[in-house]
Amino acid sequence: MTRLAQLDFDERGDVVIARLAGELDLSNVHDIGDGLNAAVTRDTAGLVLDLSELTHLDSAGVRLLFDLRGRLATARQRLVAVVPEDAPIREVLELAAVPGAVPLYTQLDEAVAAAAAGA
Amino acid sequence: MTEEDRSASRLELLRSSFRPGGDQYAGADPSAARRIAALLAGLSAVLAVAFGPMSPPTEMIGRVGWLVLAAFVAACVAVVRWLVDESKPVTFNQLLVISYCGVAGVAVLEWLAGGHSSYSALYVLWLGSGVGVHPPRRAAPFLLTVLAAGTLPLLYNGWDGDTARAIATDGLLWLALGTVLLVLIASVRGQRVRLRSVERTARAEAEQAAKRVRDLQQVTDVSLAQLPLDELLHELVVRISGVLDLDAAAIMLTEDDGETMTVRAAQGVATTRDSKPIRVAPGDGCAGRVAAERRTVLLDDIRDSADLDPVFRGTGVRSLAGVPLIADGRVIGVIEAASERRRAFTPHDVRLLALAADRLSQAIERTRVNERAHHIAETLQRALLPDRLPGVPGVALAARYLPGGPGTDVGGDWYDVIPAADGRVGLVMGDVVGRGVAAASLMGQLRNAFRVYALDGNAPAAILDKVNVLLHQFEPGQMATAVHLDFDPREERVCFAGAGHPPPVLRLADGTTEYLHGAPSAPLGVLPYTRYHQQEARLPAGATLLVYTDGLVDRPDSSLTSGLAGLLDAVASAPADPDALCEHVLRSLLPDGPPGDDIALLALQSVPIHGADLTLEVPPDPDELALVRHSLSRWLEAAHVDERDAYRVTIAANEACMNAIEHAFAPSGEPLHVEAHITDGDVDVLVRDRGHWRERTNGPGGRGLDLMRSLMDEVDVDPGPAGTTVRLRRAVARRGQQV
Repeated sequence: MTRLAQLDFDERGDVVIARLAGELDLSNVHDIGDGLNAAVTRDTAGLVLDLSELTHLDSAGVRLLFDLRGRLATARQRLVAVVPEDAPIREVLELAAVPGAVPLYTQLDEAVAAAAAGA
Repeated sequence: MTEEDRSASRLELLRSSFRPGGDQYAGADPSAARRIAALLAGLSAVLAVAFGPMSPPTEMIGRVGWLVLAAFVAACVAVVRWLVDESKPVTFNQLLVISYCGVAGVAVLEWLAGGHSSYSALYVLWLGSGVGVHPPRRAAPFLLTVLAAGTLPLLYNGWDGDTARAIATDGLLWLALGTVLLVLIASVRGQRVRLRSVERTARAEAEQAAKRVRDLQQVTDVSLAQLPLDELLHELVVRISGVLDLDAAAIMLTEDDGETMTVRAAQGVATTRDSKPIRVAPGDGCAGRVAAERRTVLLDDIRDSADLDPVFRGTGVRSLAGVPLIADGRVIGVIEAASERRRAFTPHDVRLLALAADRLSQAIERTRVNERAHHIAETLQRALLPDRLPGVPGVALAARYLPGGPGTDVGGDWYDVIPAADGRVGLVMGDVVGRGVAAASLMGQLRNAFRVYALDGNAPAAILDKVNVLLHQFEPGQMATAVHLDFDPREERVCFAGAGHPPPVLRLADGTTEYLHGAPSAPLGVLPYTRYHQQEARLPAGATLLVYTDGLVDRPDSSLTSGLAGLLDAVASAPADPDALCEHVLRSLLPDGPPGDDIALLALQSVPIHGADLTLEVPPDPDELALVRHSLSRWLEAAHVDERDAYRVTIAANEACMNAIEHAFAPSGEPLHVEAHITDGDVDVLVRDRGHWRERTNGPGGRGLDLMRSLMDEVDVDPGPAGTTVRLRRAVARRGQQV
């Protein structure tokens, strides 16, 4: 079966960048969550979720973001996301009050800086 | 046999020929008898004519006597004419009557001539005709009659010394002659009877020997080895019953536990009881004993039915012979022969059963090995075929795979459906040349190669090129035919390339049907440096495309051309729905059930997803959410709904479906029903499930509901007893206009 979503990782210093492209829904949310959790180690200062290429995100994805943020917060690690201004998923994130918990940036560099600064 | 014995047996034969009963004329030769009788009657006529002047028959009634003589001669001539005509049937009784009549005629002639005369010589002739032909029990009275007839002149002429002496001399002569004839004929007959009986015995022995050979052939027939196990068991049980003239027979085979046996085939008795196969526990009955003692058991006279096997209980079986089936030193079953009358099974019977057992053991071992290999290949192939076709918006799919008929090995047919992220869908139909486990495993490799190249975004011809190189490099000498299609539902176009594969069939909504013939191409693995070419065809909404393997059209009983023509007719007359189309094609082309070769077929229909309504039925499975979203967004796109609004409607519908899947209480597996309507500026979406809605105000489910309420103008949740219905409504902007 064709994969709905694609998950790639990158690192900048002690910040992990996770690039999530495609569609995130109930069918793959657990696997994506496992992938993200595994990518964050004790040495990680913060995690940047690059959602620029994500075309679908629903309440299952919102739940994932809140869960992930909760887990990272206990280890004093930061979670930020990159979402372009005109991205369709932005509306869902804002309706679900995600920006209050996970700061949204439009530029990757800003997001990386924010994630590193929190450490 | 000594000389003494031989004479003793001759005497015995002679004696037996006088005894009553049996066939009086055994060993007699009817045609020789009628020839002798004819000759003697003819001689009688000649002699009567010759004696006429010597002893004129005028002594008693004057000249009228000549008429009597003439009548006698005429009668003799008539008898001769009758007897020489072989086409007229004559019985021994008639011959005897003729002889008695002859004697009477001679007696009359003597009387006419005035007493003992030359005519008495005729008695000798009739004596021959009577005694020389008939068996002693009939010849002896006849001889006495002739002797009595000779003495008649003494009665009507009175006692005369000379005449009496002459008559006595004649009588003694006749008696001697008659006796010699009688003994001679009886002994000749006896010998002939004995020869015949020897011959008959020899023939019977030869026939019996031939029957034994035939019997053996019946159970060792090499063609039996070709049969599937169950048919072989049935055929053997029928043949054994026939050959040994049994009332019933059964074959039971050991189960996997190595102890219990199950009746697998039977003749003259049921193999099941209460529609369950009859089982034989270890040591139970005759068969149990055979299995436990690993030897042949013969029961000639069973009085207690407890000695009978479960299979024969309740029948009138009186005698049983059981022979073990042994393979690899293990008892793998028992053959049993049963008779309802008391019967001592002969060494020949037992030999035959043992031979059948031996053949059967070998066949079972062979079949088990073959079945294991077949099972592996089939499992492998089944595992490699998609167990469920993916849902793709704008596409309806159906597939069939039919393994070859009994006795054939699994082929290397495969098909695959590869949906791409952009909504296109790739179809592969292929056929590895060869059979069995090797073909199935190569098929797995090819399937993956196609998947990899297709997911990498290659066009059909490029995929075939790459797989061809791959096959050459890693599996030299292997060959496969394949066709790869790439269907774009948005454009309603199909791009395809074939490698030595039968052409796809295109059926338009109006029933027009044609083959999509591509450029001639070699199968994969044949030409290392070939290039495959691809073509395009329109696949408008409602049109169906069928790909298949050659087993469907290349049948042994007809030509490929007529097979292709038949397929075209079948597709033209089939319903448009892919599933019904596959069913119809198989029924039309294979009316007699499973084919000899494997067959795979895959039908794809281009489904319109524009219009005022959209209806979807999907299994309640998270994997189906994407299909709902994609279908809905394509439908909204086709309806020119503003991109943002379309997105909102899609997200809300997705949330409703997710709630139905995730939170439906006691999921029943019933499909999820999604309906969408567009009227003027409003889009309505209805999602219905068969579960119970569980609203969670502070849980994640609540977040979904909030999202729906934020995205839509109206959200109505109706938790009915049979299922929950969610209605969503939103005013939407159309592209190029405002709400």
